[in-house]
Amino acid sequence: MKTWIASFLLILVLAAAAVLYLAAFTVEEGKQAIVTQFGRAIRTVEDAGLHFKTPMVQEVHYLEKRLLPWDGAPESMQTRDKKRIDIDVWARWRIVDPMKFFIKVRTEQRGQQILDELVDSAVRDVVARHKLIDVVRKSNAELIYETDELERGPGETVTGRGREDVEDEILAGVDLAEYGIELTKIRIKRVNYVESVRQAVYERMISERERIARLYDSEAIEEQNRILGQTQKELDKIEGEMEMESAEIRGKADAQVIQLTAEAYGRSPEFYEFLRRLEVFKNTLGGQSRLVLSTESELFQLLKDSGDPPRQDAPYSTTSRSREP
Amino acid sequence: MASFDDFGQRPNRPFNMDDSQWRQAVKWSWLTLLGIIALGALFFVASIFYRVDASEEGVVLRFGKLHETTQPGLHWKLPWPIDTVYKVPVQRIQTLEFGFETEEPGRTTRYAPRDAEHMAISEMLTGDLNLGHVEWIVQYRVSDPMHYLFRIGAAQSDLSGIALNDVNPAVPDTIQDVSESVMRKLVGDASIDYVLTIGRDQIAKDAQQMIQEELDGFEAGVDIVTVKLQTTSPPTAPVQEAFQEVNRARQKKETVVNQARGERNAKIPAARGAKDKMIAEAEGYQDRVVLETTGKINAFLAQLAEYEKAPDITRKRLYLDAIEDVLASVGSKTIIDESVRGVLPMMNLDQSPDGTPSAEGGRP
Repeated sequence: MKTWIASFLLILVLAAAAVLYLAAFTVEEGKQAIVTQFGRAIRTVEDAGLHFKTPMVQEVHYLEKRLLPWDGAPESMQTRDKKRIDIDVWARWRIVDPMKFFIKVRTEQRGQQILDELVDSAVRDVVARHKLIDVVRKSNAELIYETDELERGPGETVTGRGREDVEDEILAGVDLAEYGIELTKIRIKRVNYVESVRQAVYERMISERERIARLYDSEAIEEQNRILGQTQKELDKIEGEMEMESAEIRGKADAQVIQLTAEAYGRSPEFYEFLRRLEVFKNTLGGQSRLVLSTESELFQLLKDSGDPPRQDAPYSTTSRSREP
Repeated sequence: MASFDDFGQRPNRPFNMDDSQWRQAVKWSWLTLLGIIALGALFFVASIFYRVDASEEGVVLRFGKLHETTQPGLHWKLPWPIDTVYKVPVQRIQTLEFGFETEEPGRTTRYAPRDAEHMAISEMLTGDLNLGHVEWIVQYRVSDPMHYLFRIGAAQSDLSGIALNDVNPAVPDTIQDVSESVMRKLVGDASIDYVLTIGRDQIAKDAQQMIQEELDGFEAGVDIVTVKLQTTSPPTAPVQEAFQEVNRARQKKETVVNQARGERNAKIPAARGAKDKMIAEAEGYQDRVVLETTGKINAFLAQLAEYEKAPDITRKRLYLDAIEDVLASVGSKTIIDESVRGVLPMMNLDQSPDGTPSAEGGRP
C-alpha cells in the first residue's frame, strides 16, 4: 500500500516536471521571442528571463534584438559626372517591431535579403545624383601638401557635407518600417575607380610626379646659377674694392712724398739741384762705363778755375790708351 | 572446433547459474549503478563550478536574464538549464589588421602574402582623386561585457570570417566595418601627400576618435585602444617609383645648392683676405715711402743748413768729391784734347774696356 502511494506521488511529480518543462521557456539577453498558437503569432516577449506558454499548443520563435550586420556586394555604378566606380556599403539594422517582422519577414536571413534588394537600388539612385568628389570627400577643407609645388589650387568642390550627405540620403531612401526593421546606419565602406580607370589614374599620378621631379631638377640649376652668379658678383666687387683702395693709398703716399719733398727742397731749389746732379753723376757713371772727356769740359774748367796745379799723376791724366800712340 | 562447442553451450548458462554466480551478478549491477550516479554527480558539480581567468570577466545569466557579473577566480552557479556563463576577455587587447595579415608573430614576424582582398581594403581614393595604399591596425579592449555580448549580434553566416572564436564575433566584425569606412572618410578628405607623410599621425588620431564614437553609438562595449597607420604608399610599384623620383630630385636639388654654397664659401672669404692683404701692402708702401722721404728731407735740410754757412767752398768740395768718386769707379776713361780732335774718329769704340784699367797704374 505504502509503496503504491509513493510510486503514484513519484509519477505525479515527474508528470508535473514534464509539463513545467514543456510550458517554460527562456529568453536570453539580446533576444526576443514570438509566441504562436497553431501557427498564428499571438504575442511578443521582449524581456529576457523565464516565461511560460501553453504546452503543445503554443510555440516559441526567437528573433534577434541585437544590432545586425549587413554587408552589400561591391557594385559598379556611375556618378553624376560620368565616372564609373566600384562602391561597397555596409549597414546595421535591428528588428524593432518583432510582430511585424515575424509576419512579413519571418527570419533574419530573409531580412538580409530584403536589405539586399532595397539598399542596392537606393545606393544607385543617390550616387547617380552626386559627383564623384561628393562620394569621396566630406568637406571642402583645404588639402594640405608637403610642398607648395604640388598644390593645384581649388579643385572640385564638394556640395554640402559630401560623403556624409550621400550616406544620409541613402539611409533616408530606404524605408523598412513596414517590415518592422530599423536601418540604423549606412556607411560607404569602399569606393574606388573601376579597374580600367584605375590604370589611367596610376598613369596620371606618375606623370604628375615626374613633372614635379623635373621642376626640382631645374630649380636646382636655377639656384646653383643664382648662387654662383651672386658669388662672382661679390668677388668682382671685392677685387675692385681691393684695387681701388690700394691704388688710393699708394697714390696718397706718393702725393705725400711730393708734398713733403716740394716743401723741403723748395727752400733751396738750387742746392737741391746741385746735390741731385752730383748724385745723378755718381749713379750713372762707374763700373763698366767708358768716359770720354774733353780738356775743354767743365771738369777741366773746374780744375783750371780752382787754380790748383794739375796733378799729372792724378787719375784724370793717366788715362786712355788712345791718347798714347 | 572449440569455439563451436562454446557456442553450443552458452545459451544454457544464465538459467543454469548457481547461487554464488547470481549474487555476483547482483553485486556487479549495484556497482555499475553507483558508478553512473557518481559520474553524474561529478558532471553536476563540474557544471556548478566555473573558473574566470585573470584577463576575463564572467557574465552569469539566470534563465537567460542577466544575473551577475563575476571577477577572476573560482565561482559556482546553478546547473544547466538555469544558469549559463559567458566569459568575456576584458583585459586582453585585441588587434585587427587592415590590408595585411600577420601569419606568424615572432622576432621576425612573418606576413601572409597580400591577396586581392588585402588590396581592396588598403587601396583608397584621396581627396584629390588620387589613389593611395594605406595599411593600418586597430587595437581594442572590451569595456562593457554586457554590451559586448548583447548589443551587437549576427548569424554565423553573416560574418565576414574574422575572429570567429571570439565570444561574440559580431563585434570585431562591426569594428572592422566601422574602421574601414572611417579610414576611407578621413583619407578621402586629405591629399595624397598628407596621407603618405605629414598627416599620418593626425589621421590615426582622428580615426581612433571617430571609430570610438561610431561604436559608442552602437553600444558595442569596446574601447579603441589605438589606431596606427602601418605602410602608407602610392598604389603600385611604378607610381611608387615616380614618388621616389621626386624625393631623389629634391635631395639632388639640395646637394647642388649646397655645393654651390660651398663654392661660394670657399671663394668669398679668400677674396676678402686677398683684398685685406693688398690694402695692407699699400699701407706698408705708404709708411715706407713717407718715412724714406722724411729721412731724405731731413738729410737734405741738415746739409742745407751747413751749406748755407759756407756755400762756395762746400759746393766746390762736394763737386770735387763727386768727380773723384766717379772717375775712380769708371772702368775706362778717354781724355781728348780739343787741339787733337782728329784722333777721335780713330778710337775703337767697339773695344771693350779690358781688365787693366789705367787707374791702377795711374794712382799715386
